[in-house]
Amino acid sequence: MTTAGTVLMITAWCAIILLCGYCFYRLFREKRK
Amino acid sequence: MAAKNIVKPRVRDSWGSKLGIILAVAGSAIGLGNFLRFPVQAVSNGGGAFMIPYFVALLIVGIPLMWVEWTAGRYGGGFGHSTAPGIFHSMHEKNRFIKYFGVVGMFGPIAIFLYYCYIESWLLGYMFYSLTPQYAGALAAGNVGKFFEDYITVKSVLSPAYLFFLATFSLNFLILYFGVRKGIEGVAKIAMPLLLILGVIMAARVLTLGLDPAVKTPFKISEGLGFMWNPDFSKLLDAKVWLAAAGQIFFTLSVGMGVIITYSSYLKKEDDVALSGLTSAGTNEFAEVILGGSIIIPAAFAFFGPDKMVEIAKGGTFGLGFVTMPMILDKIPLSTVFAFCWFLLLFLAGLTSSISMLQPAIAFFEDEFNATKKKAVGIIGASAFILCQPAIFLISKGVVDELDFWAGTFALIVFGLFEVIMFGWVFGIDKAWDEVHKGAQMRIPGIYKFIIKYITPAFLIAILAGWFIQNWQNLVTMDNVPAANRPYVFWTRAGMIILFGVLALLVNRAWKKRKQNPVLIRRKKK
Repeated sequence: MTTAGTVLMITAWCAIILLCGYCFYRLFREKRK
Repeated sequence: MAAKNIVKPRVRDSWGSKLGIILAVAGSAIGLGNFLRFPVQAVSNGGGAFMIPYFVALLIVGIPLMWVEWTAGRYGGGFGHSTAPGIFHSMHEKNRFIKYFGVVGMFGPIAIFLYYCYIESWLLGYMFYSLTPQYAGALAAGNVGKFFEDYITVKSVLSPAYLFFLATFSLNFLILYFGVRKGIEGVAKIAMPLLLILGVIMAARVLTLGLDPAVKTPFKISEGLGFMWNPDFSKLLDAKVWLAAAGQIFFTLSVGMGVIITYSSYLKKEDDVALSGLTSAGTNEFAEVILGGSIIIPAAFAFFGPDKMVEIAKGGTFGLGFVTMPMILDKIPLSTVFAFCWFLLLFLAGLTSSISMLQPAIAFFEDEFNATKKKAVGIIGASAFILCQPAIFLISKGVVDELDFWAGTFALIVFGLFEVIMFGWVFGIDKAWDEVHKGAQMRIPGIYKFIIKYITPAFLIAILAGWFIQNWQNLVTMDNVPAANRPYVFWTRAGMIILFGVLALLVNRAWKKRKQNPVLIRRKKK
């Protein structure tokens, strides 16, 4: 796997994990209120 | 006597919880495309470079349309409408023709279901066969491709594939009979966590394959991921790659189908749509890019090497799922368990999608004709059963490909364009912006006001124009269709036009009936 491939994969994975994390954090935080 | 004729509107279905609708929408979005279509699209369109137009399309088409559908659905639901014709009508009541644009949003999901249910039934069949010596024998003899071809070719109503189709078809309608809360939400709450767990197990197994027992060297999983992710930036100059990325975003998020609009119509006026829409899109992307991108392509590369990969990718998505993956799984310990998990994963993905395709048609009869759930399920069930038959018996004649193109690709983009124009221009972007933020748990960045009004419609018009310029001649002359299949393709097109006409006629009848029974015309809930 090339460096460019590794960077793209890690960036995409991180972006999606952060998006999901943010969404579910906001959802459950609201639920607890 | 007059009192006898008064029709009382039914009490509409509703969701039990916010998580329930998010999982149901994510379930509708996460389908076979996430695990089979996406990796093939990525590999065929520049690997990692494909992800750049893919994410651009997600940001300027996928997520905005997700918000548009969630908001339009909730708004129309306030007027007692669950399907696009009624929702469009409620957004611009002055124009009596506007409801007919919504017919595309009913046609798409019904027509997709006609072939999708049969493909979904293969997965149920393969779940069963993965536990039988018959299937193990085919794998041992290297006949798994022939086994698949024999399986999907239905010769009579007693063929195993037909019996599994009957079981899958009945299961879909049974779930829908139980309604939105007990049926769709109940299934989503069990199936979605199970699907994600199975996806993580399968991805983890592929990424930790360890030593190849044949040559005692580690499997080249890193190179397999490289095959999927190493970018070929020259592909970014090819318009086809951008079209493929936009098409994949539509397909994967289930936007432009008319399904999310129906699901969100069961929300209450102050329920959040902004964060919920984004969460369902995010969940789908997790299943697609992280799980879907880590299973089949890296595994196939590790087992078959770079030489065979191009050939495998050209074999199409079904070849990958039903032929290549069983061959790979056969070579690892606990192969039966993993094969069963693979087909169960895909079956759950298919089931949560297929039930969502039927709900708009059922909801249409319930809301616009005031039909009972039993009657609506019965009418749609009987009609869908008859209409599914050509896809089953004429699959080798190009019927499924034709349905898939017009209903599964073209109608999605057309309806997506109608929706975004309705929302940003007819309803008005300022009013729409206020509507999105009613009860919202997050503030959508202001740039999206501009994107929804200008960029998304322009992007969709460009896609349609580009496609038309490249393909209109082939469409008319059918040059790309084998001569023997042309009559079948012609009649499939004729059948789709008739289906569209019948739906438009039903919309017309429904509005006439509502005029005769003003009690059915609901006003927006205060």
